Amino acid sequence: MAPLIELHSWSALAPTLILALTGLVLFVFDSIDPRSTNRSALAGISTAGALASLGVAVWYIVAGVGDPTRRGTFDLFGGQLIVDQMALFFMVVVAVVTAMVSIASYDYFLEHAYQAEYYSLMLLAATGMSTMAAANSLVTVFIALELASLPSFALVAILKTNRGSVEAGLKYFLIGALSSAIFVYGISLVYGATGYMQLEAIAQNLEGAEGFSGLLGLGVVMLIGGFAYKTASVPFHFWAPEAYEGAPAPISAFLSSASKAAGFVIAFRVFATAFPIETMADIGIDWTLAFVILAIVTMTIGNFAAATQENVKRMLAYSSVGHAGYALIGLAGLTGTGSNDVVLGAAMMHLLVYGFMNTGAFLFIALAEYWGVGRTFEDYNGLAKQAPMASAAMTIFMFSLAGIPPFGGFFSKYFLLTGAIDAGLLVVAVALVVNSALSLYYYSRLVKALWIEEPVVERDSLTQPTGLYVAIIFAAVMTVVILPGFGPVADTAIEAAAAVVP
Amino acid sequence: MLAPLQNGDTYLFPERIADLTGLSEYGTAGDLVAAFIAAFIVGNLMLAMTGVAGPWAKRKITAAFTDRIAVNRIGPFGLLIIVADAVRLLSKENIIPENADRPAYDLAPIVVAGSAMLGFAVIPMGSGVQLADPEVGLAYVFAVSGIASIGLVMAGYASANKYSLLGGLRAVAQNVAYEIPLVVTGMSVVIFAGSLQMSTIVEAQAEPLLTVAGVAIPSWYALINPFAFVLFIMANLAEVGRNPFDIPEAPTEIVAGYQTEYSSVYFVLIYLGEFLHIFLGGALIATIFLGGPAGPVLPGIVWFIIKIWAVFLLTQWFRSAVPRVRIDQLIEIGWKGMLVLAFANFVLTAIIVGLIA
Amino acid sequence: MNEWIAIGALALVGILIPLGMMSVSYLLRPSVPETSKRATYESGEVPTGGTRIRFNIQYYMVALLFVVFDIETVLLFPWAVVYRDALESGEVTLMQALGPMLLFVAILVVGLAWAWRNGAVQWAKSPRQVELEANRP
Repeated sequence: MAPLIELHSWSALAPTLILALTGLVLFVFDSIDPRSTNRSALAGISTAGALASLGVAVWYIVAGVGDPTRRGTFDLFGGQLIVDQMALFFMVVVAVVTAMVSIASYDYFLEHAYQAEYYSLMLLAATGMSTMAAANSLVTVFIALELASLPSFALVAILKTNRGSVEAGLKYFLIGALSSAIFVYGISLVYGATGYMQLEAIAQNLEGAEGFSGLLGLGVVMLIGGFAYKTASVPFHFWAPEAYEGAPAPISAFLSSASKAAGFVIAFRVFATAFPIETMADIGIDWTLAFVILAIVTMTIGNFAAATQENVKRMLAYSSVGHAGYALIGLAGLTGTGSNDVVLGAAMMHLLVYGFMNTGAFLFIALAEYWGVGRTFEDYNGLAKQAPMASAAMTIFMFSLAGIPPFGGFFSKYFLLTGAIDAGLLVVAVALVVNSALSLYYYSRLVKALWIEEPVVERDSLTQPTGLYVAIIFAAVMTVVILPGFGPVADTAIEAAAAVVP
Repeated sequence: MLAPLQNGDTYLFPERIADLTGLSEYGTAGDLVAAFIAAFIVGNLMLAMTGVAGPWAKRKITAAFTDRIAVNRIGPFGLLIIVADAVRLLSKENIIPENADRPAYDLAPIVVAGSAMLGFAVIPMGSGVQLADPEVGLAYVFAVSGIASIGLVMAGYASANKYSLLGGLRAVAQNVAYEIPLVVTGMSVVIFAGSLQMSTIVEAQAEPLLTVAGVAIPSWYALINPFAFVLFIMANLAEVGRNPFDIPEAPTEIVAGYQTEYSSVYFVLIYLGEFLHIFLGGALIATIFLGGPAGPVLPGIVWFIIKIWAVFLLTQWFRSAVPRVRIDQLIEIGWKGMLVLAFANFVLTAIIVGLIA
Repeated sequence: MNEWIAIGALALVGILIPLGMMSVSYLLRPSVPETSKRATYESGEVPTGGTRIRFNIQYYMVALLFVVFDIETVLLFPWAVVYRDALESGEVTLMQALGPMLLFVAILVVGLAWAWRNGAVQWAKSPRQVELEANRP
């Protein structure tokens, strides 16, 4: 059947463009009616934009955009941006998290003064993250990274009168500035060694860079530093607990899910495309080793730190660091001995599932903050009696994060484990299992607090804010439903990964 | 296409000097000396014009507007007041306020004067006087003249005087507010010329626009796009801080702004820098709107000097005739008026050029 | 001859002339050290308080806005240079040449409109606005 309208090739970027357009529409709205407190309209526009972006991205995946055997990948602007399956996969993750956070923010920012600014900044950050998914040159990677980071700084500090929020914003900004500087210096070194910014062009010119292996190696290490910041992994993970704890909880959800996924997609693409393992090994730079170490250290530090926390939000923040360690296996496993596509695909799946379960968990914190129940484990005691539905959802998130079988988190971890064993990384596989077991301790501690413990103080009856509930229930349903639907997801992810790694 | 740093075809002033003096035989060293000599000549030409303008012409013009006589004692038309004033100002004691931030306080006059001087490097002054003709000419002038803002804020901050601080801040707020309309309006000329190179812009204006009774009227961009010309003159007035935009100095409000605490040679340098900026603005207007050094009968450089003095006269006229705006008006005129007009002009020019081409 | 040599030479002249004037002045001028005349000028009164005073936040807002628009003008320059050549070469249609610039300016105009409506380029606030501000949480 002939298509009704032949779309122009740049419309492959439509998921990103829709997000950008929605951000601008919100600015126009705020220009027409400054300081509007029409939350329904603002959250509605924002959610509609995110859902439209999600819809288009899913439609593209289903229609076969980016699939080399069907509609083909789209190289745009001289290869500066690329729309392949991996890009679309992460555009879906970003869009779905943005949609959930937008809905949840409707209730969370009930009394807030800067409604329109909040939503438009969020959409612009989402635009940056979505662009990161498609970035195919170190320049576009950096620009997209900054576009995602700069609104995030403001978003973390958006509760202007809350000291914690402002402090978190400042810390996040300082570390962000530092790591951006390191990252851009790394770019300049790679450019100096190879003479190219475009990822495929770098890969083709690596042979010429053999004389500069030291320069190139340093550049690669600095690039890893930049990715480590964006994905909140060691050694640039310090900001994560501070920023997630101080930020308004929906923003913590947004940053720890969408922003982390976007950080991983550029890491995947840059390392898989620009620095092929064999060529780099010939030069003497084995970056998979760096990722093996980073993965182990990150998951261990994240989980051990999470186990010692008394503050629930901080626990989740450290657990988010731990999950970054799991996802790093996707890069560590690209040794070429195992099946590269499975291990990278597993990391992608994990990030998708994580997008639901972690966003949901942080949104539950948002709900708790909305109720004003407090921040520590004890404060959550007995919440299940008053809010059984939300607590049940939170239980699903916790068990899924820990990787208990009936939920989505189990499958992605299982794939990661098999991928790591395939790649011959037994140490990493053992670290993954040990850390998952450890994580079960602190995740179940929260579940115990919710269901078994008696409340420390008597609470009034709790309201049921529609937006937050919708987002949480949706996330919970997705976390469960993704299990039967895992076949197509896994296929898409592995196919997408296979297109990127040789 | 030419690379950005490539030499044009123009026979530039340093090469001319090198050939005239025989320095071209000495390779790079000869080039360096010739370039220095050429730069020295251009620098002193500008300095001489400023010398005439500051102590003498400014007074005479203001006096004429207010029906007074002004300097007339020393020399013909009081011209020798230039010498007298130069000696007087240079031999004043240099009083430095006790809390001044020393390196910044001392550097500010050099930055203000030097940055203005640097802009003249790419201006074609006619009769072969043009130091350099890089591809990026116009962008270079905008960039270099913008450095002066740093000098002004240094002067304002380092003086440790409240008036100076306010003056410095006002100067920067004003410069940044009007820099954008200035550059965007300049860009609408670039659309016509299709190049940032000064010599190309001047050449493009030499083509006849239409012929009236046997006299060819050149296609000066002031005639092609008078709206842009007016906008540019307005923005330029603000850039050089002359009425109605003399907020940064505003003698009746904040004494003398950023130069309140400056005395002796430092004051001379800042004052000199301001006049150089007026002339640089005039040179820019002459180059991109008035056909550069083009004109009948007289040699190019004479026409060029006539044009920039005309602009100078205009600034002095405004100074005598127009009241000062308030700071809030200034910011709002800049961001809500000039900026919008400048963009409207830019977009309309682009559309019209596109439809005609 | 590389023309940037001449520009460098003019930079040198631009520094040497002020330095020369300073040294001439140094030779000519008297020096009468006396502390009281080094006090900063405050309309003839004894200076009160420090000079590192707080100033209007609007200066900062305007500077931020400037950064945005300045970078945007830098990005428009190359467009303006190639625009006419591109049209005359006949390889692009008017819409292809003009469209991206219009879109780019339109995005900026949205930004300016937002800054305008939210008072970023407004120096003073009316009493009503102050009251509105006070009510915001």
